[in-house]
Amino acid sequence: MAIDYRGDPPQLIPASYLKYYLPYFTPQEVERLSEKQRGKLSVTQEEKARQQACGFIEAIGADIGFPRKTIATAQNLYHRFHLFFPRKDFAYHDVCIAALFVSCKIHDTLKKTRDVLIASYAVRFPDRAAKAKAMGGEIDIDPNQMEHDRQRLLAIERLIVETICFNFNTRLPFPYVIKISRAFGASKKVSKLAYRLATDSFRTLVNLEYPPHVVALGCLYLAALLSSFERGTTPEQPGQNNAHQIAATLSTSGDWGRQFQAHIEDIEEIAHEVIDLLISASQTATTANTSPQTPSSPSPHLSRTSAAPSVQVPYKADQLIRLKIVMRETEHPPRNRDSVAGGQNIEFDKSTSTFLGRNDKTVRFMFAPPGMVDDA
Amino acid sequence: MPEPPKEKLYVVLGHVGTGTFGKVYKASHTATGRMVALKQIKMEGEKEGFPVTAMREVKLLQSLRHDNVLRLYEMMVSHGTVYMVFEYMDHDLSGVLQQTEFEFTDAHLKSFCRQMLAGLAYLHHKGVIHRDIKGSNILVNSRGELKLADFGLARVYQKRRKSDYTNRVITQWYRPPELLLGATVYGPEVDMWSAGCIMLELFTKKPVFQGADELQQIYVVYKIMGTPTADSWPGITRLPWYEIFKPNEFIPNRFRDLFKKWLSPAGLDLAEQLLAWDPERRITAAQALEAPYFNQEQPPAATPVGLSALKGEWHEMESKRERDRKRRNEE
Repeated sequence: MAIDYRGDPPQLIPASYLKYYLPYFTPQEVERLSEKQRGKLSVTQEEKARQQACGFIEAIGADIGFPRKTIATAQNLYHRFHLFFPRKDFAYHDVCIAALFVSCKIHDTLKKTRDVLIASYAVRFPDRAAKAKAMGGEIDIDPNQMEHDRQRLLAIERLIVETICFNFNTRLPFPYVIKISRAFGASKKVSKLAYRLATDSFRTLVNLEYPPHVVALGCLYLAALLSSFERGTTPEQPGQNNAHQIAATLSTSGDWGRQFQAHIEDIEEIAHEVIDLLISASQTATTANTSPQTPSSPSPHLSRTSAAPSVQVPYKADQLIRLKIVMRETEHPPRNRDSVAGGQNIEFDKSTSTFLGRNDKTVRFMFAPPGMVDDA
Repeated sequence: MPEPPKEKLYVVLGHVGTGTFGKVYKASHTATGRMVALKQIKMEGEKEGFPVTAMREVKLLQSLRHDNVLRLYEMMVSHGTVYMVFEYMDHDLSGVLQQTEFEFTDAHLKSFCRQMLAGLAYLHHKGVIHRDIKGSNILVNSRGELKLADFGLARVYQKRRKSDYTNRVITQWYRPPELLLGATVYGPEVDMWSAGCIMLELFTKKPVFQGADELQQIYVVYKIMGTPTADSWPGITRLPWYEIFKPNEFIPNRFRDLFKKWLSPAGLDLAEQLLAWDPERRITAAQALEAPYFNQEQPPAATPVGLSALKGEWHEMESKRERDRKRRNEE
């Protein structure tokens, strides 16, 4: 996988493979692709790896002081990467570091490879980092090791950049959360919670499945549900809608669907994905406190050395589960969505990983899905 | 030329220039015969991976779509080298103004000027400052269409507030006075000064403010535009390097005297508004498109369609080569 960027082009550039950028995948497509890359891992193990990776990205990002957009984009790049590359072929921290590095360039929040690597060592080896800090220096890493890690980072960077077809435009749900919350007259408390849920949503795959304004609506819906569930109505300030009203509006079809170009089925699906994340985080939080788990077998892919921060949940597991049940009772059946691939095989049957990152092939990268690339 | 084998994607026809990251090649898409420019992104020796400047340029171009902005079709990775695949343009403005085979009429030059301003109006509307407008970054094709290219220095700005940027942008001869005086807070007005320089260059065929070095540059501008006054540019004294470069003596404005043999009265009016000292009073691209020069004064703009008959391709590189050849022949 060494990088071999050669000089002049040959006189004839040979026939090529085509890869189209797909901005979103249907949940079925995500499942089909994930299943392939999961390999021998169970769904639970895969989810655990995903949470560990997202926590790792979060921790390095916090250490460096990256803004939320950089961290969120990195998490989403990580998820997209593993739709096309097998989990068994990559250590999760290598992919995470490369994803953060690409993201910090995309958002122009620049850091050198060295800075990102140093921050990653500090998260992976907290004891050594603490010792180094006490001595007033930075963590001591063998230069050869660092150079080796840098080479791996750059090799994965290339795969990530090719996975996104060099499409560096990112749209995130955060600005939509603010605008849509205002449009619904949400209180500051509810809109803040919606914003936090949007942050958490990057630990799920919803941002690969839905455009940012739909994710924002899903997060506002869940925020309204969480703020009103099993609570009396509190008098709101004039001009504001209380959480009960917002939850009631978004739980039935109405004008908002047309106004915000969103389907009720989609925002319910997003709310479910995010509450599932909260439920599992609240459960691991309690089990960790009460009964220590048997340490799992050492694995090269799931390092246990990192102190990955998990989602902060201000709600108890049983309360969340009761809400989940209520949501299930009122939900609409999922809608049928067309794939944006427009009939193209998204799995790139011979498997994308065989023609991405190769130095003996020619690949054309299109910035949009098949029907949307106009060859003017 | 023998028929290229159909299984080939592109036939590389030649090397047409050198960009920031590597060479630029002209190639023909074998299936459609469409010409493209392949701009190489060299990664050799890049310790920081995919160059962030290339990433910025690609990201910007993906969000832009306008007749007067060079189109980036797609990216290609061939045998380990990354290429940006652009629509092909036969000439650049510097090159095409240097050649003597095809003579541009005033109506043609007006069309070039209008197309350049339309491209800039679009960029500024999208919140993008180009920051390197100059002859070799403005491309022209055989249909007489003009497109802005090379977004390596461009950046997105906040429309409501001016932010602090690097001062080291825009090629010296096209750099506006506020940058020459050290401004780091600026907006799209910097492009409009460059556009004013280009407008004059269309008629005179050579850059008008040719300072020998960065220190001399502002004095070259003083010589033509006269020295600025508290009236023509109230904010000048607040600029970082004002004390260093402030004029020792009063120099009168000779702009109209010098350029009236080249430009029409309405043309002079517009150029003068583009070259206003005070960035706040400099005309915007959208306003410039409404100028009497375009909408009232004869002749109306006419696309130089006759360019298709022009033999050869004129990039700055070729015209330099041609000049050198002539010079050698004369000696």
